[in-house]
Amino acid sequence: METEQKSIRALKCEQSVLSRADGSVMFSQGNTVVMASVYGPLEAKIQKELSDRMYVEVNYKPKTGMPGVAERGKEKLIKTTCNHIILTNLHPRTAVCITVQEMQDGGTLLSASINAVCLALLDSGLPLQCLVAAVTCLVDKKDKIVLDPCIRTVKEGYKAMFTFAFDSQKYNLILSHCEGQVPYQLFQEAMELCQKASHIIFDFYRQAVLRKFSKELL
Amino acid sequence: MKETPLSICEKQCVIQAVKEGQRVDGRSLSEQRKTCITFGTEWGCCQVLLGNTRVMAQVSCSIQVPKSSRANEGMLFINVEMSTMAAEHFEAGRLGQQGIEVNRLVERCIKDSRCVDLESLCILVEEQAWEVRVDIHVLNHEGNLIDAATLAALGALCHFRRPDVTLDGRQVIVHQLDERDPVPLTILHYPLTLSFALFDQGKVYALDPTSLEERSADGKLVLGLNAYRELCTLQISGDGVFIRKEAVLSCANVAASRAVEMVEMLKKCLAADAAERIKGKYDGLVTSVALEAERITTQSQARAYFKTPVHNLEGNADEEPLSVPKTKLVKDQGIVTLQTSSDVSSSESDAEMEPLPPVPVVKKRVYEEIDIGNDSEEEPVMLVTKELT
Repeated sequence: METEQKSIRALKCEQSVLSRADGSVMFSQGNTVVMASVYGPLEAKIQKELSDRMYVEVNYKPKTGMPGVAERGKEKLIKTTCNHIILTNLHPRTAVCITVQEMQDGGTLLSASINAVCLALLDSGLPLQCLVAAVTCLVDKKDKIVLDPCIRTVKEGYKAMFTFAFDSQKYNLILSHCEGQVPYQLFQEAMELCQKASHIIFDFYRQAVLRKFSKELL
Repeated sequence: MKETPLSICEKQCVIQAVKEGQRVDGRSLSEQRKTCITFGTEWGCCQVLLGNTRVMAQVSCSIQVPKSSRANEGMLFINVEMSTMAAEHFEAGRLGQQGIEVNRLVERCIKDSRCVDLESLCILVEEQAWEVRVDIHVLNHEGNLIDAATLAALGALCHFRRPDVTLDGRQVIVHQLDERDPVPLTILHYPLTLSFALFDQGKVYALDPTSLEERSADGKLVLGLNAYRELCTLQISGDGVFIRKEAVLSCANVAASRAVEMVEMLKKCLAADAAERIKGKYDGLVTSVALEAERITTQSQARAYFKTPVHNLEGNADEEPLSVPKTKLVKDQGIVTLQTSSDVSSSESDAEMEPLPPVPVVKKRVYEEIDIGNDSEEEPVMLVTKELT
């Protein structure tokens, strides 16, 4: 069978980059740079307090201007992903405050944000059910699937753009965000491709955490 | 979330140490923390690290109607954003008292000193002018937010390029970034703020206080100076502070020499950034992500490849399309239900919907006239009745 080579752009991260946050990470995927911070478990406001689990609050901050509808949309997507991976039942009546700051837009802000949030949660030590890796791919005007596009490819125009997030245990789909119109086959192909690519990101998480704990504290 | 209260022993330790001329992190009283300035790929993006305090500024511009009082000038708008990322007691969206203080001081230093030439931002007098907007994001609060924010704002303004504009009579043409090179802003001078924490009722001062020193201090002295040792801002705050004029002058001397050095460093960083851009492959803030590669908290990975089988989209056109279950509305003894059948044949029409029972319609209103009496002076009364047909 014919095979072709696909790739994920260069990944870089620095954990515990902020001195005050419980967990923080500065994450870059290609030219996209995102900073995520986690504070938790915190005292929840009475209106937001939930009696049986932890309340997850997500703030997405764009670089320019006031946060608008697009930012609220991203916040909701990240919040539903976090509600799935964090073991919220272990900390009832508390809250976790996750903030994502856009530092540089290199094309795939949503998937970079989700990956950064996962690393920040790992850094903070909050109990997690599983990890999450998000991958973006787009279908360009010639019906070709481009995995992990850069900002130039996105600006050239596309038929559809998909962001998929997978869990680390069975590589099941946690989140699917699609815009555009394509035949179902192409959607299926894109999802399978992103699923394969998520292995690379999970590998990166493992290497990052292994390195962080490679030295013993005396 | 409320800020963790400062313990009395911590506060007294800091005050005692500063009185003896020592500081918790080992610096001298007029020493600043290590400053690091980096820029992003977008024009006008600047990240400043002042010790552990991290601030990022981004400049953007748009065309607006100029103010009627200053019809031949552009506008400069400074916005400071503090979120929970910087400290747990900051609320996203709302600027607390500290946030308003930072915003006001950055405005005073940069806007009121008129370091940006606003007249050059005017396109058509009274009609169109550039509004330059500076968004300053506080990422980590470890003391001295004012200095970090001003430095980030100034760096971002120096780095920024606005689109080129040509006037064709009264027609304004804004050129795209790939059509014509963008134009930098005209910066007349480089004002920076330098903050001192005041202890012992203004007798002792410490330059560039950390968060712990700020909270233990009696008051604060903020000086805005440029590279020509000209003073543009001065603010003294704090209760119980009686600072003598000799102390203010000595602070100003220390601050002036530091301001000259910092402007030099800013210019050097800008030049280095310009040189990097010319080279070709420019990453911007990516280089600052895992800056110290030997640290165990950093991890880098180059572009990773993997093999996937190639799917041929044209070959699958002969296959039957995926079966979509057909749905139809079925009315059974007055109850309408949805019935799905996984019938693949497309010849069956799925428009099998029974009409709903007719809704009672009000046809007309009937008025009844009641005759009271001919010699009555009253007006005839009319009753309204509703009749359903």
